[in-house]
Amino acid sequence: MDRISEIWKLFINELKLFVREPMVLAFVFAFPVITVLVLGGVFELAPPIVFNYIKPSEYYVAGYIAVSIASIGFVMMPVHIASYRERGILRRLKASNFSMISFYVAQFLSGFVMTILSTIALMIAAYLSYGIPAVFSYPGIIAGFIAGTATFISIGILLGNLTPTARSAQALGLLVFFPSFLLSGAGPPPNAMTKIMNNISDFIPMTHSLRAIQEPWLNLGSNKDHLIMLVGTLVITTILWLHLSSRNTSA
Amino acid sequence: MSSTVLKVHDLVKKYANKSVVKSIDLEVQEGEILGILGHNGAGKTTSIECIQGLRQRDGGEVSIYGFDPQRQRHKVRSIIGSQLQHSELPDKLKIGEAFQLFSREHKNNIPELLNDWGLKEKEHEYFASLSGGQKQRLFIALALLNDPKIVFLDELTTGLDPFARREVWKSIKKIQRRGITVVLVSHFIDEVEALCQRIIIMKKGRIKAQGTIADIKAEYADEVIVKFRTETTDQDVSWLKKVPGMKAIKRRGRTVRLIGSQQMVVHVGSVMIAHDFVPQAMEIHQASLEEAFIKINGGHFG
Repeated sequence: MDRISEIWKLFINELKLFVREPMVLAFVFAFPVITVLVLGGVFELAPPIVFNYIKPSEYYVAGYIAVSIASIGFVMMPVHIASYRERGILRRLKASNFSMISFYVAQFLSGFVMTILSTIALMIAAYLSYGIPAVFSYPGIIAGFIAGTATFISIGILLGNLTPTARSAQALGLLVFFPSFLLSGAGPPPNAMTKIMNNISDFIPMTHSLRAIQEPWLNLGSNKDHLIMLVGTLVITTILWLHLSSRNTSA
Repeated sequence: MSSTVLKVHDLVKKYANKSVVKSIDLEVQEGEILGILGHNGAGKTTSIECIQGLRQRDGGEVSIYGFDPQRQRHKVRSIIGSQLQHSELPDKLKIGEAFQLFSREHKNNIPELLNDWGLKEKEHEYFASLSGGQKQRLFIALALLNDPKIVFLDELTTGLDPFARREVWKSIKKIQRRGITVVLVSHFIDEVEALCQRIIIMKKGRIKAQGTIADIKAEYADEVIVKFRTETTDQDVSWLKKVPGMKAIKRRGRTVRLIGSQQMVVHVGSVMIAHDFVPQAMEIHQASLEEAFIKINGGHFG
């Protein structure tokens, strides 16, 4: 079996397994939709300066793809990888001559598909409620989407390789997800946060993922710095999980 | 004459500079079932995972059909089938999908395997819905999916009830009838005794004994007990002391126990006839593999 067929087989298999997990589906699809609907409405009466004179619903709709991406990276992927390792499924794949590179490529592909589907669900909800804000730069959004998704899948694989069990991966993922969610601008907007919170926010990958999509969408400036931060994070996390994965499966 | 298909020489595996597999040598002949026996922590699983190239060995040589599992990983994987200890499948993977996923070039044999291993009616069910015995049958079937020449089965029956264990034993014998060589790791003595032509007993990372079950019994547990009753409590049997191989005679009332080697059993009958002595309720107790195993492990079973 060539590498492409191997990746395709694993990818299709992964997609089937994802759609059979109702809890994961609920978190990945429902959480971003529910929160964007709630937050977009809650802050509707906030003073305009809080959102830099952008409509709150537009601010959240344009940024919430990053929440879908982070849900997959922080919640779904770590549990999935840790569970595969904990239950010996990775070793079984390896013993059956599957390449671990093919396995991880299939994770990236299925992660991308899930993020695209989650984004579509989010856009449908936004369209039916607040409307979808006008897009300033499609290439900028696509670059932000690809860099953010790849980075968060990589973070998810790293978390899954750092934790010994699926349960601990879930705990760690949620522990990272909620502070990231609150400090990245996906919860309270940056102008509603203290200076210290904003300083911390600059070091959070989710902030860069959110702004890399939101800024080209709403014409808030170039997303180049955010893309650089995301790609840097992607490279570092990939090196780390490649090392850990090789240690975990061939000790 | 069968040929050697697996050769291991001076295999060493260390964790944090501590050797867990210490210079083991073994050979497996084509078509045999070799059992690797030892209690938990003896190094059995680590050894066979190193042999299969699933763990990096720290020393020694391994050759499976002439290929090194570490340097020629893909070639080795294409001729071996593995059932790993503590290895499952995703709960929501359907049985038919598992066969499709793990099948590499030989998809034609999937319906046959599903039938042969009693899984046809489970084809569209999730892995999580299978019983312990069905899961093990599935793992054996998956190990055979790509027409391997040699299969490694690690602690296949742990956690199964006696009925399911015997069901799995039948499956292993069926593999051998197909001409496939089997390396079976177990800590169940009855299992290796029922299935294996040759066994290896490991303790603390070393091979302590290897050979046929008869060889191992003869070397480590060759004591035989001959028990009988005399007609009266004072009937003289002291003449039995001269029987070759006799180690001890113990008597309680009419019951006499002769303890000695296999050689003793051969001679006892003829000496009794020579003394015109007819024993009552005579029984011969042969040493078991379990006794040999306990002796090899220094008197400790676990």
